Amino acid sequence: MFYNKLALHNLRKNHRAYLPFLLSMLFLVAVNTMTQVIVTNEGMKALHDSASAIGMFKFGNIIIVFFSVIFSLYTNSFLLKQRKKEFGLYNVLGLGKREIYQLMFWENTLSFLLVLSAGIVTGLILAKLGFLVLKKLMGAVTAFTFSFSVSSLFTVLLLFFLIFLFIFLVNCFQIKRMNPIELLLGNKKGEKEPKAKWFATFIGLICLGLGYYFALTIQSPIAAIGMFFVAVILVIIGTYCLFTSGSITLLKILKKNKKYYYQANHFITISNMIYRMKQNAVGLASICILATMVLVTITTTASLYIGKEDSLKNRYTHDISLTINEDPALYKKIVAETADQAGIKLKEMPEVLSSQPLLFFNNKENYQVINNNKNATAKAAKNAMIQLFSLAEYTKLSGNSTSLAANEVLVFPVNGTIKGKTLILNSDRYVIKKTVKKFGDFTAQDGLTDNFLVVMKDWQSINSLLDKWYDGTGYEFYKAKSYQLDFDFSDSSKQMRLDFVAAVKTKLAQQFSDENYNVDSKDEFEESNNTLTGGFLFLGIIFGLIFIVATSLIIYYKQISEGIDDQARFEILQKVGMSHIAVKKVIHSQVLFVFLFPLAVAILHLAVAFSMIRKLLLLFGLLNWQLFLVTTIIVVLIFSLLYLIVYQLTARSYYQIVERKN
Amino acid sequence: MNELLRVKEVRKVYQSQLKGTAVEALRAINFVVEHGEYVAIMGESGSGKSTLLNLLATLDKPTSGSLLLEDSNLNAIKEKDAAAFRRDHLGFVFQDFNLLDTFSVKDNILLPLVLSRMPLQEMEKRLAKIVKDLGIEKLVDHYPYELSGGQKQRVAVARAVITRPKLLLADEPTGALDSKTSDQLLKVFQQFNQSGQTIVMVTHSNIVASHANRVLFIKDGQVFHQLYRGDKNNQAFLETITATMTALLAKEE
Ligand SMILES: Nc1ncnc2c1ncn2[C@@H]1O[C@H](COP(=O)(O)OP(=O)(O)OP(=O)(O)O)[C@@H](O)[C@H]1O
Ligand SMILES: [Mg+2]
Repeated sequence: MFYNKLALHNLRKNHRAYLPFLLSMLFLVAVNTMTQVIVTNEGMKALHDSASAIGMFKFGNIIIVFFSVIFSLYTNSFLLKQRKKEFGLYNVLGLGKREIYQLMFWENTLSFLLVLSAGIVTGLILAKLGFLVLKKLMGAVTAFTFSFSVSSLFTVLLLFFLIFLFIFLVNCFQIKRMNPIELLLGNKKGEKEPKAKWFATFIGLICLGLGYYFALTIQSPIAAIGMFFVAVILVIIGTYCLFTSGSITLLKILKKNKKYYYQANHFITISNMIYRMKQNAVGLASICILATMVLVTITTTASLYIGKEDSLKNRYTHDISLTINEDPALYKKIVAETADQAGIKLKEMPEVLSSQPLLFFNNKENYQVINNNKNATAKAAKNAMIQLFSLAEYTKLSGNSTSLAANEVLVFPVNGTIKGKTLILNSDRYVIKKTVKKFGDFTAQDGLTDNFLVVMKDWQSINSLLDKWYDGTGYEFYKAKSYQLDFDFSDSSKQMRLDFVAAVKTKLAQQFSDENYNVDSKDEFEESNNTLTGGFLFLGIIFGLIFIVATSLIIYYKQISEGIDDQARFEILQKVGMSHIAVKKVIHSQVLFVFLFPLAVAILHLAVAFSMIRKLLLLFGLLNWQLFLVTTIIVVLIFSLLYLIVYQLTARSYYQIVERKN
Repeated sequence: MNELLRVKEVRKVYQSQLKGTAVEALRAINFVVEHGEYVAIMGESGSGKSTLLNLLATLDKPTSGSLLLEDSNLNAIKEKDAAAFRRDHLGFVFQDFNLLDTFSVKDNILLPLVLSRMPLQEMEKRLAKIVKDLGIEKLVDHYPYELSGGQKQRVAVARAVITRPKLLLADEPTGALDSKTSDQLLKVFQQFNQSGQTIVMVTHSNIVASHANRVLFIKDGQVFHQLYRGDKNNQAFLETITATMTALLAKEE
């Protein structure tokens, strides 16, 4: 065959155009292989809380597949742009379109085989490596071992077969439409100066403004989830509009101002920037969005990972916590027996008696009972959790003795504040005698909703209130007393503790209805939290890497395609009387600006998103916002550094092109 | 008439970077251009015409010899001052126009003035006059990609002369134009020359050269021969040039 030889020759000869394409495709194959292998790994099932981990990875995998398709098309479009001229030449020299398709078919097949074989090998190595990293991050058990199935590799093969097929069809279509002369001259044709687009600029401003407004004013973390996506979409639209139209509109305004425009520095910068923005706005906006995504993903996942000890401590003051809605005596006995059998020493904390946690709706400082849970979360920002205690319980737990009248209460705010000196519960007014700072083991902490502990005179008054609030059948649950039994372990291995909790759970399940009690174990939570945060961070790092590679590639393509145009421009400028140094200065400042702009905007986006993300992290139990702030700053610094390295590397190839002839 | 440009014993050797072999593009060039002259430089391809023009344009430096424009020694100009010097004293027209696609016609023409930080009013006054002289008033708000070759070259000429240069340099200015637009451009050059503009133009076309007042022939890196127009008209001068060329070529064989 003649065409496969020519195709091979072309791959070699066009390595400058082909190499970035092959490398990025190889990278995509490798990443897909890696995630496929990890997702389908048998060892995953040995994880604690394996269902959610697998779910998470499947979701991550879908995003990666989606991204692979888009990015393949993007890098292909650059390759095609560079090859078109050559194909035009072949066409003029007498190679029919049919032959060109054939040639392209071979080029595509060769690159497919090359990329797939190299990509899968790299992917397997990465998977093995990634697996070790993941295991470490998750602090996983030994049963979590590496293995891979041929079927997972087949999925990758099929995916990339389809991608390459699609690329081939796209290219054929493009060639079909081309006219050889047009192609040969293609890039010589001058470009129209873009017009100022007021409308798109306006839309962009509105979208970005709204997105920022939502991000900054969000109150409750539950509302934040929905709002988060709305805000993200708005900011993405806004960014694209402002990069593409806003920048040009602004430059046009500056250009209209003759006094400003006809100054040596501004003159060249403005008119060049108009073209630069026209050609690169979409690329720059994409870089900006990708960079924002990297920053958000890595800061959140890293914060969760780093903060996991912290959230564990906040969430659990004791090793085991039993909440019981009936007489606790029998429960205590069972726990004690089980401990004896297992040879475990338990330290029992004083039991805490209270009402159930009751949900209220804050209607202008009047807390109204919500007695059907259905739409309780809809307005979570205005919800409050209130738990009632008797004065006797307070005295027992805190050691302080005071007296309370029937219309007086003590309040311990766990989260949120009550304005003023009165507490209104379902229109009943209570005087807050004191806001207490300390109440047993309870600690103040940020949470999803406001949360108050309210101490009343005695159980009689509490009971009569509950009867009044939850009048009717089906509400018995709310009226039940709640006993909280806390235990701490004294010296025992983690595995023993986990086994013990499991044993207690089985025994209780045999005796009691599960509506009446709840066992919460610090160790169990730690295990599943390790799996989740470790898995999240791992995915975060993978996404981060993919985004960084994508960003670098976009930047590289941008530099190359610009360099060629700019070279001619700057040579003319020198001939017309601009010194080499001045030209160089202009180039540097423009390139640097184009480079730093997306990064700066990405950091701005992140800064605005900060409070929203902080609220989202509350959902995962991360309450320590200082930790989040420090993580964010460190991630931003590291990312900026990587970005600048990419800049240095690609800028070098740009300057090589531009300064070739000086 | 007094002397504007003096080229003395100019030699230019290109050192090939790859093989280390040297190419002697110019060996010993000597000539003088007086104020208000219109000189054409002819020679075959590879004879060093463009090289010579680049030296005059301070875009490059000779290996040895000297170039004097009035009192300034072009060799002695430092790279950082060369740009300003070019802007203030020299104007260029190139074979491939060298217009910036990012600028409108107006901005292309104003470019050297803006670089010299000329006040806006003065710039616009000069612009108005020059576009009228060249008949491109209607094109000022267009962009280079919307123009024909001839129009582009007129824009390039406008940009070259708007600084009122002492010397207008042109390298194959009609190389990319058809004969009709060539003629138009050459008429413009002749008009400029008649109103006092000194022009040095490189060409290998006899017809183009016949518009000049003097023709220098370059060969083997030296000025080999020169012809003066005297009081001949274009047609008669063309015949002389053609005859000389034939004679020169014949001698070679
Ligand atoms: N930058 C350079 N490096 C090395 N050699 C060069 C360089 N520029 C020109 N030359 C060589 O110098 C000689 C003269 O070239 P020049 O471009 O001056 O010729 P020319 O008379 O303008 O030709 P043409 O009529 O084809 O434009 C040629 O042999 C050429 O190969
Ligand atoms: Mg030449």
